[in-house]
Amino acid sequence: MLLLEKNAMEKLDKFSVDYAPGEIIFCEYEPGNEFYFVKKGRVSIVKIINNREKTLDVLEEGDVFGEMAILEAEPRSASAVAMGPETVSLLKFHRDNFDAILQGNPQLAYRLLVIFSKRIYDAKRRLMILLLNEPQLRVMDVLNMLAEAEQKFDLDSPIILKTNPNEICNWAGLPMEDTQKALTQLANLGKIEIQADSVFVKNIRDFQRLVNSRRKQMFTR
Amino acid sequence: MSSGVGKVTTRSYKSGSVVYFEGDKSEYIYILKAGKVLLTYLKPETGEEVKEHIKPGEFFGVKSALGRYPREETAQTLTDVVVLVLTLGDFESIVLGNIAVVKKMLSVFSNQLRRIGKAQREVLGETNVVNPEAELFKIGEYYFRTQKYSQALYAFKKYMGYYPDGLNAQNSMQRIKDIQSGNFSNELPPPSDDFQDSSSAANDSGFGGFSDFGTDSNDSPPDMTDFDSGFSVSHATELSSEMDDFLGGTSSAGGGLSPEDKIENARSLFASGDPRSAEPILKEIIEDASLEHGASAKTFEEAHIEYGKVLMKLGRLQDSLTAFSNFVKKFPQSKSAKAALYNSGLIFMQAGQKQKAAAYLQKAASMPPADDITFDAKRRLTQLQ
Repeated sequence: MLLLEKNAMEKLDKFSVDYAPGEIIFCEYEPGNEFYFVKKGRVSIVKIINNREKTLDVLEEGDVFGEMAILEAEPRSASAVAMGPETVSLLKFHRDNFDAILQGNPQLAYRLLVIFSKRIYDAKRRLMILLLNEPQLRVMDVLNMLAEAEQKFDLDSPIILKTNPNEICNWAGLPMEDTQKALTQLANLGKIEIQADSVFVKNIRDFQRLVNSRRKQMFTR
Repeated sequence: MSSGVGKVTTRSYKSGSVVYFEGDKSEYIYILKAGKVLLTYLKPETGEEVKEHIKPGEFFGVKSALGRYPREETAQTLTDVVVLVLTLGDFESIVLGNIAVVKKMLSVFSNQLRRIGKAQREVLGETNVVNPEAELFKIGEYYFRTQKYSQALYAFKKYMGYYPDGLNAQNSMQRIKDIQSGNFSNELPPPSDDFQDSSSAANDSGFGGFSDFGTDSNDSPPDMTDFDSGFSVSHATELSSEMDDFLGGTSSAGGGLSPEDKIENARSLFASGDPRSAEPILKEIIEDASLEHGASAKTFEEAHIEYGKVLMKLGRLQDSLTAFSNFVKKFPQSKSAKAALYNSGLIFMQAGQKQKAAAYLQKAASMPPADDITFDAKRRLTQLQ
């Protein structure tokens, strides 16, 4: 994904830290003073919701996390855990060194700008989904979002989205039950087919049109 | 229309032209050289149109180009305009040579991200203010219960590191011992009170001189009858400057932040334990009377209440009380009037003036909606009795 050039990476080696699989990197509600760059391995972002641990995201090489700590010591909104099977290598940057790090590593600075731009877009897109009030519309719009994210898709043809009900449920901010129900309805209507790790969408343009027109109605009433 | 100047292209537009439309895909980033550009977009929560003016020296189109997603706003010219058109490569080389610009953009970006996160939580109904201390302990308990002992140990140890005198310190210590000794069945005493003392800093700073504080005739809470009714929830989500709104091009470093960014900065500083630095920023906002009726009216209002809180934290209780009282007079319809009354109650409490404290707290507790403040105010009232 978003790797820095090799020599830029070597310069940052002194910030390197390793975690064994399963080890907590930081914990929800802990004050956040560092942000991290994934050098090797995978990191899961989890949150305990209603007494269950829920995976919100899985990060890979080149990803950044904990970036809200760049400016302030807000409590962490989720936990980060090293994933197996191998050791996870991270670069760990403390807010206090941030200026010096940026000064010495303009490439990293640029990379952060790119990552923030994407995060802002994703966050806004999620907000748009959450503002829809019917579960089925939300689920449709999650599929729209996943389709839009793939540059290579021809949205005028049927598409296969790599996703699963769990991910859709997280994005839609819905209970699993509601998500399943909405997905089943769409499947019964012949609009989608649900596989274990993918969803086949016959005509995503339909979903886009429907969501867009509902979105407009929301504000004109 | 285009002419190369060095490596970067300059382009001129007539007044009334569109530089790009919302939904366009493009990798160009612009710096306005001369003239006026207007960005317009719809606010996602309300569908209302938001306008943003770009001034010479400012960038626009940055985020969508960097993130490689469609433009989120339409950019049109209000006068004849000259722009510099940068490719991503041009932009990268400018940025690599000027870390001050990156830092400023990062700060604007991270504020935007925070605002959107806040809006998301509001939609999801996750707005309750939680106490990180109690929650961190609960995380440890969750892992303990689910027998993930190494994770539990992590959380409890962190708890002890951050809150050695915390309400759950004894229990955390007990858990650490339990885990290390393999005793996984120990029952803890009932969960501790997670009462937050938001004014502990002021408590520490000697309080002798305040006994005469507020003994003037103005004994009752100010103008409270006015907002018994009509406490409508007009709490619009902060998501106003959602654009590529950093300012000042490559030269200016500090100035040019929008009031929304300023207040976020001040809140960050306050939250990270630096009220002293937050104070002048908030003061600057509330002294700018031009904000009162513009697009930043909400921010202007919020800055007043934040200012009161900051003064309180700094131990300037009399000033703080004045700030809260002015707030209630100035914005009787504000949702935050309740917070202002509650905090005034706390100040009187600290000053040992129980009756006044009770009057303010009672008022705050009686105001709809029933939220965290209601709850805290009731607790304080019980404490007073």
